[in-house]
Amino acid sequence: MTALPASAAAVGPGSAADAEMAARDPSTSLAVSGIDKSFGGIQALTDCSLAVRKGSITALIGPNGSGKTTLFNCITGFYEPDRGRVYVRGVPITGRRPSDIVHLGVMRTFQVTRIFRRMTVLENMIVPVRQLTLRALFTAAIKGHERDRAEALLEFVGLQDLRHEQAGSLSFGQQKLLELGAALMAEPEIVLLDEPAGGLNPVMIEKIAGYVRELNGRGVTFLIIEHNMGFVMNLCDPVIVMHRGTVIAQGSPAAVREDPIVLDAYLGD
Amino acid sequence: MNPQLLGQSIVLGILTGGVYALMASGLTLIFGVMRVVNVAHAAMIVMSAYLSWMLYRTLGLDPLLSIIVLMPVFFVLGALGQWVVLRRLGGRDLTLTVLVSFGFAIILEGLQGSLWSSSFQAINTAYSLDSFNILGIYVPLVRLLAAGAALALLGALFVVLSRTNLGRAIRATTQDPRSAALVGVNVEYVTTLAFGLGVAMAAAGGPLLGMLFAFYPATHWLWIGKLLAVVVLGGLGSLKGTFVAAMILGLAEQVATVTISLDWAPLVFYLFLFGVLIVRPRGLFGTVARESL
Amino acid sequence: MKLRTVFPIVMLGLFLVLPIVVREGFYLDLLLFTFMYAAMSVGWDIMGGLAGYVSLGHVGFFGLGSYVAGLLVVHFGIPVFLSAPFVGILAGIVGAGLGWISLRARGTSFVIVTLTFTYVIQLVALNLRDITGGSSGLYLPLLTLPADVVILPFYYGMLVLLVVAILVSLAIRRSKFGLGLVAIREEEGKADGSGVNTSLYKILAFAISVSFAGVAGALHAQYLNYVDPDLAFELIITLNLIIMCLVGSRGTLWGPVLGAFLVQPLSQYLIYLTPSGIAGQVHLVALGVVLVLVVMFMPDGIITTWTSRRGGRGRARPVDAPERLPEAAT
Repeated sequence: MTALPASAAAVGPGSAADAEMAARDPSTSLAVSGIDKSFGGIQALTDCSLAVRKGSITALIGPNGSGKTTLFNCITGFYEPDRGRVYVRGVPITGRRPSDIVHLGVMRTFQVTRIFRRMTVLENMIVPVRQLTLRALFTAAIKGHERDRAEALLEFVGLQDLRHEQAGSLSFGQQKLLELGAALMAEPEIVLLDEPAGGLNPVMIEKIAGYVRELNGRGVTFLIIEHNMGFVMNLCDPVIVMHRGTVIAQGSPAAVREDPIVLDAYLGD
Repeated sequence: MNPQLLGQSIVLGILTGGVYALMASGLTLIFGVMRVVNVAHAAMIVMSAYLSWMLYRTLGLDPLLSIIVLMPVFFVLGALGQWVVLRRLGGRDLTLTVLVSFGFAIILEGLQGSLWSSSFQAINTAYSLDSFNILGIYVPLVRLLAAGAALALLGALFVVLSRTNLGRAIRATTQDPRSAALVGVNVEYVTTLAFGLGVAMAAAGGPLLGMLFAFYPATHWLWIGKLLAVVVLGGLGSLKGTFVAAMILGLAEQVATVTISLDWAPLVFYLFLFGVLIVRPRGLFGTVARESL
Repeated sequence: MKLRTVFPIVMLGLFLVLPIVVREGFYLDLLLFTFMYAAMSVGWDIMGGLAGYVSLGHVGFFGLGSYVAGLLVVHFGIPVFLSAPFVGILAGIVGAGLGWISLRARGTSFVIVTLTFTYVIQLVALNLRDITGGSSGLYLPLLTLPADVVILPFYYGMLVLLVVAILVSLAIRRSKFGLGLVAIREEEGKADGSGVNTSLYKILAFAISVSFAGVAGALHAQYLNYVDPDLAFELIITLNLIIMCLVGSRGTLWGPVLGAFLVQPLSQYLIYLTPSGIAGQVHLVALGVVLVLVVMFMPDGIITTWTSRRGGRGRARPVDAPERLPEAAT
C-alpha cells in the first residue's frame, strides 16, 4: 500500500497523482482520479480523487450536496465526468455504459430505492444475472440454477417467503433488502451502497450492517454513502470525507472524527 | 449559383424562419413545462388556419386580424383541455399523455376533413399576390407581413415569460417542477396556463400558415415534423434556441429549394433532426434539467 | 392442458379449415385484415407494451414493406410471397438504425423520430418517381390464380404471420430478453445499473417489433396489386395498432390479439354504416375519440383489468415464464 494509507491519523485530500498510482496497485479495487463534473455552470465535483482498498468497507461521508451521489453516478457510468478517470482493478472504465460497468463487477444501489414494481420479487432478483447474448433471446427467463441462487440470496436477506409477491407491494424496508439482494445476484466484487440505512429503524439498520459485514467476510468490497454516523463508525474503515465536490479528508473513523477540517465542513455549512 | 437567387433565398429563408419560430414556440413551451411532445400542435395550427380562412370568407376578416380573435379562443380551449383531460393523466406515465395528443391530432384532422373536405385550401386576400423589389430581390408582401406579425408575437411572448409572475412561474416549472412547487409555485395551475399559452401560439401560427402555404387536413403531419426538427435543434424547451433553430432551418430549406429541388427541400428538416439526435443522443435538453436517471 | 393453451390451438384449427366452408370473399377479407392487424399489434406491443416505448411510426415500416416488395416484383420479378420474409428483415434493419438514432437516450427522442420517420419514407416514395411511380403509384402484377381462390394465399399468409408473431412474442416473454425489456419499462435507470444493456435491448426490441409491419405491408401490397404513397402510409394503421393494444391490454401476450379481433370488425362495421363520401373522415374522428377515451378511462385494457378484478396470483404478470416453471421443492 503506497498511496492513500488508511492510517490512524486522518490525511488530507487525495491527489489525482496518488489515485493514479493507487489504481496500478493490485490491492486497490476502485480508484477515482481527478474527476470534474458540472451541470449547467454548477460545479458538482472538482478534482475529486480517492481509492478504495480491496476487501475494505469504505465509507463516503459529507454534508448534503457535497457531491457523493454525483460521484457514485460518475463511477457507475450514469454520468460521464467532464474530466478525470475511474479505474476498476486498474482498468479505466470512464465513458462506459452502466450495464458494462456492472459486468466488470461494480454494482450499486440507489439513494431512493429503485425496484421493478410490477415484477415479482424473484424476477427482480433475476434481472441482474447477465448480459444479453443471442442465446439469451431464447433461453428461459429463469433457469434452475439461477433460481436456486436467487432463493438462497432471498433467504440470506429474509425475503424467501415473499418471492412470488409483486415487488411494488413490499414495505419500504423489504424493498431496501430486495435491492441489496438483487445487487448481489450479479456476483459483484465491489458494491456501492447509497444510504443503505436511510429511513430504516434501528433493528433494520443493524440487520443491514450484519449483511454487509458477512458479505465483506466473503470478500466483497464496499463503498458506502451514509449519514448515520453510528452505522459508519461501527462498520467502516477507512472513512472518506467529501465537501464541496472534493475529498477533504480520509482515515480511520476515529481519526476522521477528530479532524478539525471535517468538523469545520459539517458545522460550517 | 446566381448571387441574386442566393440573396433571394436568404431573404425568403429569414422571413419564413420567423414564421417557423412562431409556430414552434408553443410546442417548445409545452414541452418545457410538461416534458411531453404535443403531437397535436401542428393539427391545432392547421385548425386555426381553417378558421381564419372561414372568417375571411364569411366575414371578410383579414387573416392577420383574425389572430386577435383566435388566440383567446384557443387559449381557453387549450387550458380547458389540459385541465379536463391531460391533468388527470398527470401522475401516470407520460406515454399516455403523448397518446392523448396523438388522438387529438387525429380528431382535428378528421374534423377538418369532414367540414371542409380534404382538398387544398389557401387564404387568398386582396394583397396576397403583391410584392416589391429591393435591390433586385423580390419580396412577397405576405411573407414580410407574416414575419413581422410573428416577430411581434414572439416578442410579446418573450415579455410575458421574462417580466410577468406567470412567466417566472413557467420558467421555474420548466427548469424543475419539484423545486418550483417547493418555492410556492402552483405547478398544476401554471401547467394549465402554459398549455393554454402554447395552444394560443399555435392559433397565432394558423393564419400565417394559411397566408403563406396551401393546407389540407393531413398537412399537419408534414408540419409537426418540421416543427419538431426546429424544437430539437433549438434544444427542446428553450425559446431562444427555437428562434435560432427556426432561422437556420428556414434558411437551409430555402437554399435547398433553389440548389437541389422543391421536392426534396423538406428533407432538410429531417436530416437536421436525425443528425442532431445522432450527434447528441442525450445532450439535447438545453434548458430542461436532465431526465432522472 | 389449460384453457389458455387449448383455446388458441382450437381457434387456429378453425381458421385453417374455415375457407373450405366459407367461400364469401367478404368474411375472408375481414379475417385477413384482422390477422394482419393482430400480427402487427403483437409486434407493436413488444416495444410499446413490454419495453414501454410507444411507437407512432409503425405505418412507416408497413409502407416501407409495401414499397420494397412492390419494387422487387415490378423491377426484378421476385414474387412477394418469396420476398416477404426478407422484407421483414430489411424493415428490422431499418428499425434498428432508427432505434440507434433515437433509443440510446431515454424518453422523448423515440416519439419524435417514430413520428417523423413515416413522413420521410413517404417523401422518398413520392419523389423517386422513376422507380416508384411517384404519386400515381406502383402496379403489381396480378397473381395468376382463379378469382375465387386468389384470396387464399393472402388469408393463409396473414394467418402464418400472426402465428409467427405470437410465437416470437411468447418466446421473448419467456426469455431473459423479455425480462430485461420489462425491467426497462418499470425502471430504466435501475435496469441499466443492473447490467441490462438498455440501448441494445430497446433497439433489438424495436427491430423485431417493426419487422412484422414490414411483412404485413409486403403482403398487403400484393393483395391490392397496388401501392401508392397515400395507401401505404395511412396513419390510421398506426392508430389502429395502438388502440388494439390498449383495448386488449398492453404488455400481455393475448391483449393485442384480442384487441384486433374486437376493433377491426367493429371499425369495418362503422365504415359500412356511414355514408361513403365522409366515411374516411368520420372514421378518423371516431378512432381518435376512442383512443382518447381508452387512454383516459381504461388504459390497462380488458385482460389486465379482468384478471386484476379476479385478483389472486395471475394478475398482470409482465412475464409469463415463472408460473410455468416447476415450484421449488419447499
